[in-house]
Amino acid sequence: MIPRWSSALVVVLATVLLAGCGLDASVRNHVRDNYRFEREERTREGRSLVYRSDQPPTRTAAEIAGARPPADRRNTASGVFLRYSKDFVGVVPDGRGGSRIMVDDERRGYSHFYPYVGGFWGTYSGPGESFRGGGPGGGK
Amino acid sequence: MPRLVATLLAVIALLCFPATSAAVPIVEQADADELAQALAEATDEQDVCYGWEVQVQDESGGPGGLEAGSSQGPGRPLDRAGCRRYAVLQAGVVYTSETSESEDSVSSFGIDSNLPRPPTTGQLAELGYDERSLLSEDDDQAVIDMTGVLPLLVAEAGLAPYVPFEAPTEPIPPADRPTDSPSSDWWRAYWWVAALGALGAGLLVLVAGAGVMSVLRGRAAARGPGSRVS
Repeated sequence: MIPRWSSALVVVLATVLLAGCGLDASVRNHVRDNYRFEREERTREGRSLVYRSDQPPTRTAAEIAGARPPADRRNTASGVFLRYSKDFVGVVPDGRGGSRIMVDDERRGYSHFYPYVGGFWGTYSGPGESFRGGGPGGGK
Repeated sequence: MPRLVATLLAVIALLCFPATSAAVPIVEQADADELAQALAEATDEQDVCYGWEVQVQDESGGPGGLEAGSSQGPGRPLDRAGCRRYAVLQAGVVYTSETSESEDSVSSFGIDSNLPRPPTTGQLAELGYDERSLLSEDDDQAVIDMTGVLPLLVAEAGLAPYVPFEAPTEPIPPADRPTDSPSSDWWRAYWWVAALGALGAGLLVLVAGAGVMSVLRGRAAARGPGSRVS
């Protein structure tokens, strides 16, 4: 005979799956719900939402990545960049000890963060990098 | 006969030149150039020198030695004497041959620095990288990211100014676009829900199977001795 508790198992299983389908995995929503909205930037490439955090960039990025695991990430001298299926998130210093969080769609994000993610998350046909050393005007 | 000779030669070649499990150099030249340039720019902003030094030991006889670069140039281990303050990613990696029973390992991993509150490997771990990353397929990315983020960690500790984020001022080349679309965000965040569902479904199948077998056995027993459950 099929045990009676198997029907309870079916109910639990269905509940878990239904609840699971309703779980929010959007990094956009996570940032919106947990950080201060600052402004929206519109350019020809798309829409960029800017938020603020009182925590420094690496800690802010670690919190976001812990809550919404990214598919890829770039840790650089100027900020941390996280890649999701349809969104790019850039966490950079705000100049006051906290962070500026920029949430972009994929296309805009690639353009916006190109000096940091170009060649890593997509094609790159910019100037080839050869070592020029430091000094004034040594920027990318 | 020729086939036997070819097979023997292949076996000998495999024994003499076993494939190694990792590519050397870890960081390709173009990436090393770019990383060294980024570190040089950070040194200009912060007056802190940066670098990476990975000691590669390949027990299968492949290329090894010190793989290094710094804000003083790609391929150049940081000359500490020329720097008032410095932070250098240091690691030792041991590659074994694929025929070896022992596995690749990391013999050392840390940050060499004379800063009062230097970046730590714990901070790198929070950013997704630890010593195991040096043995992964993306070991190059691990070295680049762990070294590249040192100036940001130094600035966060209040030891130097931040290296500013600079968005491109001109449109990027039209041909350049993101590639390799990542998998579902939901799957990465909630894979355990699917795993739990699969586990529950498996349990249900087992229970249902046991129930069916029980019914069949009952019917066989009712038919009398000699009948079997087919």
